[in-house]
Amino acid sequence: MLQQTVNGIALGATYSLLGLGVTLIWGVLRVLNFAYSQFIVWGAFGTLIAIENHVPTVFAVLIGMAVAGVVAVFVDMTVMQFMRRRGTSEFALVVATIGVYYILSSVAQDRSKSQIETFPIGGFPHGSVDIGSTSLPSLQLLSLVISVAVMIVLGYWLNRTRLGRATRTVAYSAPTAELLGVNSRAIFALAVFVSGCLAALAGIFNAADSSTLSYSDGDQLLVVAFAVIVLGGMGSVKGAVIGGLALGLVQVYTTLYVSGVFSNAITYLLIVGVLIVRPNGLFGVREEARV
Amino acid sequence: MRFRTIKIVTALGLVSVLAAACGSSKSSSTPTSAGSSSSALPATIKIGVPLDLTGSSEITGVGTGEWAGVQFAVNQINSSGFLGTSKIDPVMFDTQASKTEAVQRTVELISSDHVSAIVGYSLTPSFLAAGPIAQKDGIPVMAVGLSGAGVTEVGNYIFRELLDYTKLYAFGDPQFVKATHATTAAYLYGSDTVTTSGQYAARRKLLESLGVKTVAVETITAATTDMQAQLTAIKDANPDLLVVNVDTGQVPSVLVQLGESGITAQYLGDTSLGSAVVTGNPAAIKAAQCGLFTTPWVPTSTAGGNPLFVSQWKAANNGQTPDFFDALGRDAMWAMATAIKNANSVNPSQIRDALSQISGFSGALGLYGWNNPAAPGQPTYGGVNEQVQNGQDVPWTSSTTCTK
Repeated sequence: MLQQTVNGIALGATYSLLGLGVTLIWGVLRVLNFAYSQFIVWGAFGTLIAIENHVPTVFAVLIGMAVAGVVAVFVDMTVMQFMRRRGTSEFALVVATIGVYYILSSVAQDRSKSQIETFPIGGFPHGSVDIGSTSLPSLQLLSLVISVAVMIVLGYWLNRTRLGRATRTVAYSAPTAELLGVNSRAIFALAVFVSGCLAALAGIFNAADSSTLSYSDGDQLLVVAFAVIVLGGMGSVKGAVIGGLALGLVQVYTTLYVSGVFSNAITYLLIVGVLIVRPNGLFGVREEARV
Repeated sequence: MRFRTIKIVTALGLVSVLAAACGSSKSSSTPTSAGSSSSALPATIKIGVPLDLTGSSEITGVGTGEWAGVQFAVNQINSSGFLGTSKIDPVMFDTQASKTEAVQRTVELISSDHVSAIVGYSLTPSFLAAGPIAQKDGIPVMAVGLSGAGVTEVGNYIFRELLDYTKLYAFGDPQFVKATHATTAAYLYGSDTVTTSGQYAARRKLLESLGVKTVAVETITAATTDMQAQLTAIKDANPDLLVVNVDTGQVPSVLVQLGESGITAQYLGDTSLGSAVVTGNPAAIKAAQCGLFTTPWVPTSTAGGNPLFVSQWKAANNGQTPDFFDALGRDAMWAMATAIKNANSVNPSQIRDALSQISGFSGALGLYGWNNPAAPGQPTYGGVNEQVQNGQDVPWTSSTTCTK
């Protein structure tokens, strides 16, 4: 039981990373970005290519994060900003992100020839760390530590720094922020870049966990990311972390006590239950306090 | 894919003579040379090739390998004049691991493209949806990569290149149980496909009939990326054997996470242990150390036309060794071409009859045929027991030792 709880927390750590990126982009742009799935993949591919070119793993991870961040910003500055300026509806923006998803997915698919690629894990932590009577794979422990660290840094940045406060102002109202002298386009770009970096990080951990990488790896993770932020509360950093951990625990307990077959079904049924009781999610925040 | 094709075509200049010999077969019916004055074959023979090249990443390595093997065979057949002046024109469709797509494309191949036969299908569920259409319209099918049961039962126009895996397990698993003195087993299988769930059921029944008690059963789906919960439950059950039947693309994930789990049970896998997605993945193949499996084909086999196939493939692919799916695609297309040649006709029923009479087919999977009246439509080759040792698959016997 204790070991399975540890497994659930470790699984939830990766889910939290996924949720943090999506919740940031939602908080600032108010768009559910389906292309996020491909930011996950492109970031992991960036790291893969860097490792294949003998870049040390730590720097390869940073390169992967930068790749995803730049792709995310490029998508935002071209497609999304153009549509925002024309006053396009949120629904149309979501459809546009689906289109971007297919474009990015096709490129990744062509690059990989539809094959599952080997993701070298020699430079990542391996083996297990014994904690009392339980053991935790080192990679998942690292994922947990990074997830918590990212939450702390994001929280500090948004609440204690000038830039973070500017981000929150833009999230509340971009026109108001502009009147106050905040460059909302730069804030949008920054939020999107950080979101892309977090997507990459989750994708890299996922690839390292299986030692494989495919152009379609992000698809299932995107569903998880959306579930995390809905459960935790859309736009809430704390909610993304707690939501991710809760989702991981529920999935593991379901697998253990019910069946792996019903793992997803029961997990999402519970989310529906939570939303009936708390429509804004576990840590849902009011509109004026998003991000 | 295009680059690979160009290389294949280039190499054909060197191997075309050998190619004709490679695809030769003996048949109970007397073959008529196509392209001779008595040939009834058209200049172009359309063969439908529906395979899963995209879709779920867990199977795409399968379909692309099969397609490479089919292309390799078509190039050999056409350039060697195996069918005289007639050329095979493969009409390829990517069925995207989708049953709906498989059905639509099969209808299109038959109704619009008017193919004479079909060499295709990567997944049993897709075939079980689309195969009855071909059977109903009387189009002979050589199913390429289906490992599930119930394929040839669809009808007498259906043939399979790959043996039903339950027959492989019936061959190898009793030997593994006897050699390891196992009394308990845990199972990890993919619960979302009829193929892997069917294999699990057949294997569990087989092992229990041998006195091996089931102590844990865990499932994953194609969407599962983290298996620690399942592996912890298996570890707690402390089985002698861990029997794994999941989609090929998920095997590296299972192996890598198994390696971190501390489970010491003897791993009983399937042919995916010998596939490129595992052998080409250093972390996965390391974690697979001492894993046992039964396979219809290994690159080092000297049976039938395999040595020639491997050398030709390497010549055409920069020295790269073919994998199992390449071999399947190659033999499936050669078998269909052989049937067309023997029938000296593109009449579907005559091709069907010729397929069912093929014997002594010298293919990559050995010297075999489809003429066993007790198992119509099924290939007659057997299995080979293998073990992963130090990153390579080696022949296994009960006296083979392995150190983790």
